[in-house]
Amino acid sequence: MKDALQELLPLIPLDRLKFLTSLPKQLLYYETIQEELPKDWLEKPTLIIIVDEEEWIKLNDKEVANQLIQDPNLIAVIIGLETEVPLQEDNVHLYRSCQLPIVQVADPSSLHIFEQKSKPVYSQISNELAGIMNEGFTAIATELAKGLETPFLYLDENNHLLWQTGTETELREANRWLNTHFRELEGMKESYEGQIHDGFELYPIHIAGVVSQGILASAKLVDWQKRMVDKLIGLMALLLQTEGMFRQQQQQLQEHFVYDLLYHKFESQKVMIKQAKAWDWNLEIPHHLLLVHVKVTDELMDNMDWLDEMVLFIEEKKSHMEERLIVLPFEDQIVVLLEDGQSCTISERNRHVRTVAEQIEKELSNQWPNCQFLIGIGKWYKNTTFLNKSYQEANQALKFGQAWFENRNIFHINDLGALRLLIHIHQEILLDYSEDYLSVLLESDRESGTELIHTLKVYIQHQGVINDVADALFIHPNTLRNRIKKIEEMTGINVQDPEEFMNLMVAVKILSFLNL
Amino acid sequence: MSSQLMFSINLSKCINCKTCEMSCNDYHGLSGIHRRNVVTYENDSLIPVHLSISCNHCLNPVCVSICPENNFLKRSDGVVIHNPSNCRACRRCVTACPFHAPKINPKTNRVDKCNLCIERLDEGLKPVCVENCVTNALGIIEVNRKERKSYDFGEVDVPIASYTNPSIFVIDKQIGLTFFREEEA
Repeated sequence: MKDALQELLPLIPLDRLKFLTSLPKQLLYYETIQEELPKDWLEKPTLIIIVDEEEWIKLNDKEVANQLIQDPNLIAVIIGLETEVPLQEDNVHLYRSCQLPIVQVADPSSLHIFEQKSKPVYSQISNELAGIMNEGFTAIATELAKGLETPFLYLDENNHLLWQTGTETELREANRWLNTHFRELEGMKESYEGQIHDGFELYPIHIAGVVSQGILASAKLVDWQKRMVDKLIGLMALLLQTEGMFRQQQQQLQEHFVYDLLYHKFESQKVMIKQAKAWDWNLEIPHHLLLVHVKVTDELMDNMDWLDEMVLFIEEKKSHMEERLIVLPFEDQIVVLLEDGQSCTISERNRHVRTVAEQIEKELSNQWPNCQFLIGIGKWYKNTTFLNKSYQEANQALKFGQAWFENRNIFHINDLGALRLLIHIHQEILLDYSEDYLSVLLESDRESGTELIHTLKVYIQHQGVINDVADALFIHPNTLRNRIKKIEEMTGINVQDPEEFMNLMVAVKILSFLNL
Repeated sequence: MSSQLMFSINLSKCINCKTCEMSCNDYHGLSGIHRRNVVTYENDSLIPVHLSISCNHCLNPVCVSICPENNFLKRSDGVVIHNPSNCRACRRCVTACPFHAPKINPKTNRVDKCNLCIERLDEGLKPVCVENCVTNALGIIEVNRKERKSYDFGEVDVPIASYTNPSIFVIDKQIGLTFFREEEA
């Protein structure tokens, strides 16, 4: 009789293991190894190790799947291939519900450990460390959580949740447990043994003898599973010994959180607030969201750290400001969250955020005079879980604002006025509307090279002040008057009649929106 | 974190068989609506072009900002999904989406849209429409988000709104060449 399968798995580097289905808690012993999927019933407890691509494809076959799940002598299937192994969902579901363990070992050189007379195995700790650095701790923990059927909750030194993985039900249960046993966690960190609770257990991660973080996992794990978790924790602690690595890991966790904040909706505001406290952000108070877009010069582009430098610059400036700001780099833009829990009118609130935006834009422009800084501002929501909506609105304000208000740098979503309404309307209807009013002008521009649409756009942007419009178009006022007259003749609209002119204005706005 | 999954659509290969539409409906048990549609239009060269389109999982999805219940979210792989549990069928997203991706499911009377078969993606499989495309016109690619931002539809002749930054990659239709044989003497 050979060792149990689960006893052998910890000898394989964690980053090379992929759990297609979970492993049962009880130990699985096997007597023989086979490299092909069986055509008949197996006679002895057998471990199948697939090293051939054609063989694993058979796992997608319905008939093969039906035979495998019914064979009492089949212990587990190990796929010893480095490439990704996509299995059909129906079959994976079948294998999973019939508890047939399927594990991919993406390191064919490790397969010898399953042999009856295997070569001695030595610790590969340096290789494992390299693996965990390449794959990332979160990816490996997610994979292990699947194999062991436990959630993992990563807690910082103050027991605030930084990151979590597991199925939805598991995570819900774990968070509920965490809320009720929050006070007991400190004691659990002090002594590793003897503090096992009914639901979950805390595995402490002591980093360089200074910080003590931890991972919360199910308390129902058996010995071999605990050894796997322990291995993960050990590798993690080693990885975080250096301050740089520690900071990098904190940054990664922060990036996850910021992504969730801006793109996900947090189902629970409580969880979001708690998680944000890990970085000392108070999201209990409502915030404005400002999105700074930088038009970078080629010269600055050569400097890889330009965005970080700008974020640091704002961070430095904010210490002289009364307002509380959170500044983050996000997808080549800078996100600024401005705390605003005051009770005031909408116009006061908008004025306040605009003043802060102007201040940021001014400071940045002074420091980097060759760059152009554009700021989009989303709506203010009382509930901070709506910051994802505010982020999208800031994006829209930036995009539409740039197209319409050519001379401005700061655009609030409320500045867009009728343009915001246009988003709600079918594109086809908008196109029909603008063509009803502008088709003659468009045709003239296309065929004769006149610039009537552009003239009209600038005329609207400068509220019809002839001298301003002429200056913006670099033409003589009389030329402009002639063009306006021509537009009136072609469209049959009198630009001095407010009602008629409003229709023309909306049509031009729609056109610039559709051309984005 | 910085990746975006995108549908890639090769206009030369699509033969308007609608297998993608049907496989999607079959897999998700839909009736009365389609999450994916093959639309046919004529471009400048007056050759009919078939474009298979569903939710484009935009970088700046308008559905996210417009939903009063905040039911839409964008996953870390870029997939935009809708949580119907709080949906009250106000239809704002239905009218706002320039691609008509969200639709009201008559069975549930809630919004329904393509979720890029996330349950299949999580298992390492392709979305069902991609899996069943007989000509491989439909594919799925993973790109860096920064690269996606710099891509627009300027190079292809597709009538598509780009203000939401739709995450689809379109390979333009190639016009076939006809070679005439020389007449034998």
